[in-house]
Amino acid sequence: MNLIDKYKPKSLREIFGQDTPILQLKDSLKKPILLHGPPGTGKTSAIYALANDLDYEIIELNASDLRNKEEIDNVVGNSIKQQSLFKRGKIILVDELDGITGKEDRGGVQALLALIQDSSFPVVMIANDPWSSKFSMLRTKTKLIEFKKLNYLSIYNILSRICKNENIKINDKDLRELATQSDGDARSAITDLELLSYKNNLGELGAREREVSIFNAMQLILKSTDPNIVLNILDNVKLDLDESLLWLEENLPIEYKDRNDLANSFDVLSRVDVFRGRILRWQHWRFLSYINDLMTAGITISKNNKYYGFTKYKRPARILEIWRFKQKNKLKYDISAKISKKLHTSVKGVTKDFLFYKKFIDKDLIKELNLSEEEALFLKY
Amino acid sequence: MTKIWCEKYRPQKFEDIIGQKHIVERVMAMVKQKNLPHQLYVGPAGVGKTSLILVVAKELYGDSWQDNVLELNASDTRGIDIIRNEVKNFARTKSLTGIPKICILDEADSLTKEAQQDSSKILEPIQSRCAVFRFKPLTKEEITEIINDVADKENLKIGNKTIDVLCEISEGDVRRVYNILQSCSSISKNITEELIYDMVSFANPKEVQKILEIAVAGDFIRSREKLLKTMLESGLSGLDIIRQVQKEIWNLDVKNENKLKLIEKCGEIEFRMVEGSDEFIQLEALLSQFVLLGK
Repeated sequence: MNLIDKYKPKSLREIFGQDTPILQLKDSLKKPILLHGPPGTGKTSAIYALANDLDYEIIELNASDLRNKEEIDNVVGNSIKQQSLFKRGKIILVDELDGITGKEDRGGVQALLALIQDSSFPVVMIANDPWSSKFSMLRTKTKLIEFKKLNYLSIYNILSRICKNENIKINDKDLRELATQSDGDARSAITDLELLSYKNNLGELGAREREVSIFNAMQLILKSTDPNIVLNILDNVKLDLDESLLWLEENLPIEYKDRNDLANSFDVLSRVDVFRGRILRWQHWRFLSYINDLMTAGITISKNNKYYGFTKYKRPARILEIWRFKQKNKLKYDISAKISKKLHTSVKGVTKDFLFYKKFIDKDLIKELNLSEEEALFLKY
Repeated sequence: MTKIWCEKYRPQKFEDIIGQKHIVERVMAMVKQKNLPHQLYVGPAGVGKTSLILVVAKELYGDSWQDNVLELNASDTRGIDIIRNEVKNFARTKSLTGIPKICILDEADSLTKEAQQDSSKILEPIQSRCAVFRFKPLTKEEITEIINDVADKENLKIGNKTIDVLCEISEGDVRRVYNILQSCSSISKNITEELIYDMVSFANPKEVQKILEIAVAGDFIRSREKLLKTMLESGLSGLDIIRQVQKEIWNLDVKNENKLKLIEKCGEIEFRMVEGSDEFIQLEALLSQFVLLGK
């Protein structure tokens, strides 16, 4: 179940709260169009819905296809010029235009302009911010249509329709709050609803905060079986990935009782750690995205069993344990340091054989090593 | 004079050094000409690397050797900057004797581990600038000679069979030999096989075996708790642990075909550690394989 995909509007009639731009869109489809507005307001959805209504085909280009004319031709082919040969209409959609960078892709904007010129099919471009200087040429050649932030009521309506269909039980007050907090972004609101519905099904948490507690994230990752639900869960957790990794490490064996699940999931976790090492080594931070995928969806799908019911997750103990041990063993370390000075050996080397030294360090040696009373007592014990 | 044997009996002159004949001869020649190149001593623990360079220092500078030698232990010194500074300060002044001073960077390999680099890669340029000496573990005869010498000086009674046992247990590590003997002698001057075995099992209990047995029995959580405790208390690194794990696999009550799989996993985990992964997470992943393949 992925609510975002499931509730993509199939027709323009299903798009809430954007009547004005949709009317403009229908009227001006003959010209090249530049749709703009904040994320999650229905720009892309509107184009797909429109294509569906008209039974058009969509040819989608993204920013990386736009480096030059050849690359564009690779994707759209020559078909755009030969309208008569094809019965079905087409819309050329260039989504996430913001992804073009001004300098590197200068050829990209030129190629796009050429495409607009040549295409006998409507070209629709989508950007969050059309006022960027890199789009100045495009602005003059296209019709700008703005999708505004959705108002609270539209989002509330979208959410309650989904709740009704999906039989999600959530109290009205929480739903309204969710709609308010989404700040006009329907996509994020639906995602949050999905998370909340999960929490509710699992008998936890009433609703509210957009921030997801690490306990909830654990629950989602370990209980759920759908990778798409958990893929972005850690984005909403206020911990960095290293800490989240420790949480998973601690709680995997508490949840995954099946031997196969345990081994598979720890295999995934150990590969996360390998990527972590590679980031440090090569300073290639994009590996982080693999870490995220493995830590969320990877852990989720590494199990064959379902784990129902309430599980009491624990805070990561390892770091604390090491710290506690160091406190407790400060004396051992201090003594080892004193021995190591006499032996041309590292402290580590001495601690490895500590029990031997402990055995034979007598009064004379205590004096020789200049051990404090406390340290001497530690050796006797 | 210290009362810790492994230091007390550290060789003071070239003639005192037992084993490593070829290396000692070459180094002696270099000292004679008072012409020391950079040197890289490579070899297992307790075979005389530090001892040799200390002898060199004493031969060159006599009583004032400590003023002319900088000893740094890379495994204890945090950060390359500290080392760099100390070396710089030390190298700033010339020795009064006119002979170049000596800087000993002990356990240099742990320096590279700190920097999370492939040791062979970082050591390559160092190797090319150094005279490299490869130390071998001492032979049984050489260790026997050492044992007899210390037994003589410390009035220990030790039979030939017991000496054999000690040679085997120490695996050619002389420091270990001295430590075992000195701790045994704190109980009795009459060193028996039994005493040695007791002492060694007390100091190096078979924790790894127990950890694996618990894992094979299916209790992952308890086995990893014990693993952490063992690593902390014994100061063993992940690589130390994995070496023992590899040995123990063959003694476990596990199907033979699974033993082979476990060995392979072991190797993969060791590889990742060498590459700089988190030792504990990797070991946990390995333990989960013991849980899986143990049933």
